[in-house]
Amino acid sequence: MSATVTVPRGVELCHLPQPFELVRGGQLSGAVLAYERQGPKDAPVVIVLGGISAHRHAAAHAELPERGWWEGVVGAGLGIDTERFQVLGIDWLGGAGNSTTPSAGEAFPFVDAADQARALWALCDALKIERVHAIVGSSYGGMVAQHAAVQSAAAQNGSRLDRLVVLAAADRSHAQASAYRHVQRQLVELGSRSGTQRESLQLARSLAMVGYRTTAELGDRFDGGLDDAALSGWLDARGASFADEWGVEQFLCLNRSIDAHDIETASIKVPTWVLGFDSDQLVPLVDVHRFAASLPELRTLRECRTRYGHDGFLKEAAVVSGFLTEVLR
Amino acid sequence: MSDPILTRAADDSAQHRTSSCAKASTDAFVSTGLSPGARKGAVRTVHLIGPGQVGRAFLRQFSRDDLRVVAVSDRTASVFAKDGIDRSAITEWKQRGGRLSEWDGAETIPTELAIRLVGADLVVDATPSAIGDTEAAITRSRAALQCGATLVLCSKNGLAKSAANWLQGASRNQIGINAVLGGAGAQLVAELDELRDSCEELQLVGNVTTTAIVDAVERGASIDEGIAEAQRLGFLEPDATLDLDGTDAAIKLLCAWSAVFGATFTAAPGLASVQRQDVRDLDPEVLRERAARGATTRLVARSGRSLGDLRVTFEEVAVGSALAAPADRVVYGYRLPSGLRVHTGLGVGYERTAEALWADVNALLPVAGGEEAQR
Repeated sequence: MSATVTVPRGVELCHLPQPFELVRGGQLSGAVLAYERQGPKDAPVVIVLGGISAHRHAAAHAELPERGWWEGVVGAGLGIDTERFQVLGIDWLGGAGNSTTPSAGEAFPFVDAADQARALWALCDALKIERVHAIVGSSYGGMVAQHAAVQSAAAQNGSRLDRLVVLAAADRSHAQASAYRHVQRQLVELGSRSGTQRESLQLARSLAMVGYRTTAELGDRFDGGLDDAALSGWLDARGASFADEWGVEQFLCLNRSIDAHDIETASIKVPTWVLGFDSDQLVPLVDVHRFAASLPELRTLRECRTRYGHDGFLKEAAVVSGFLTEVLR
Repeated sequence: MSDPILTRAADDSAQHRTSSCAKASTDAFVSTGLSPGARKGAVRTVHLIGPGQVGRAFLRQFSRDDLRVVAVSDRTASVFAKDGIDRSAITEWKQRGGRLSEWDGAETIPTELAIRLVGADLVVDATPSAIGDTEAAITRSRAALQCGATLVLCSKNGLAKSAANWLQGASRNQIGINAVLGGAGAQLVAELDELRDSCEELQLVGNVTTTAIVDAVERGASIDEGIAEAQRLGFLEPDATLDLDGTDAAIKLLCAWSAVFGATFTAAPGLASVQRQDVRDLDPEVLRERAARGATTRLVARSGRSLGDLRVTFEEVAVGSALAAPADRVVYGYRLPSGLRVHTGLGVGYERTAEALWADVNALLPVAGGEEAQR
């Protein structure tokens, strides 16, 4: 019947259609989607979507100088050029931002990547955005972007999406990635049963970090072994930082949503560019190639050599920015 | 009126329940041949006040076997049946415009007296708001609370004056205001302590009628055509003036003000102290010009903690504002140091207002045995 969110100053909200029916059953009542725009209001729109811990604020700008999650890629003169494009970002439904999300202990319906995509189009409707120059989605955002493309192609009035750009994502989750996430969920659920929610969430995120990176990078940075305080300190800090922001229910909501992703690529009838990362153990190149080969409108498949694994889309800003400059020109 | 039951009604305490409520007055419903006050057992009793549009929707949505409607009151009379009232029959009777005073066996006694005599476990006050009814609304609510009943409100008037008192102490867990605030009242009650401590300002878009009118005008309609559209959507109060001149929004502001800020004041602001703006005074061209710029217009009710700054005016609102809610929902915003706490309510229109009533009923009187409510 109702919904509660807290909105810091400057955050923009879109009231989603009521009821907001979810593809796997259930609905969100009185749901809102928090979003942020930067760049000229009359410029072509580029929608930017990141991983589950990304949010509406992709990069610092004059009105909001805090660092965003994709600095070096989004900004004036960069791959997603905020002088040429109006950049639109969102907070995930069910995530840790200011969109509708479960509160502590709240039962929350299953939010599929397709639901996030529907919310995105509802936002475009509310903002009277008739055409979208590109949706650029990385990791979970890449999954959502695929659904957005499918939904756009299936729209009665014809597609209003000109380009789809997918980074570090494929048409479904690899078994190894699902294995990592399964253990993370088990950890968090164990914590819920034993009253150690925060600690379990911290551990789950620490484990996730191992999956995001590579043997090469960890081997270069850390000595390993029982007494490697630097390694344990790094993992603990990443986990603690995450647990400061996230609730158990939010983590489970989006973690499950990733693993549920499975899309019929023949329906992605939008010109598509794909960027994979050679050391990504969550979305291995073999999956990226299979995904790209199945796309009816593939324009380019590019591989990025990186020691940062799945996090290559965040860490290899220069490469990613250059790639996007080509795609969005 | 020398009836001791009524003289005690001035006292908000529930301690008089045993002496002043159903036990003391079992012969008042002599014409029915039934004795009220039979409130014990697995089945809990319900007294519906106001079988109007919302009240009838409440009855139609009734699906809990552990609740039984034993009394219904309208402005003219009350009817009572210990074994349960035929909900369909009374709904049809009222739908056809019938008065309860014409119902076989009805008692033409004051509603607050009927509340005391029946002594139901749950009193649902679904009377529409009307200017001048405030004291009567307060008296009804007091009677229910003193009798120990769970009170679920749709009527705004009493709450606007008394929320600060009613949402204190024991009665806070006894009263539901979800429907009063368009389905956002339960959230207010759930967060009331935090809001009382930290809220700096209220920002409400509580009147969907004006939102619907603005929508229509932005699409090119005249104000009158917009009003007709709101009427067609079923948003107008029975007394349409209350929606159009800002009174409905002002009363809702007073309800929220009283609940959040009122406890620290000895006097509550009255309706006359709220600056209001009439939708019929708007210039349609101004609304359309704002829409063309990508903004919109909403009837926004605002107040700080002080008594002297309550206002309900049409404001230009950015599309990305939490206040730019569509006409199918209300928004109650509470400015906190951490940002604007936004409660979205969907209790709009008769059916969904009744759903908001049921949400309170199910929360305050869950199904016996701990199972989830059946609805």
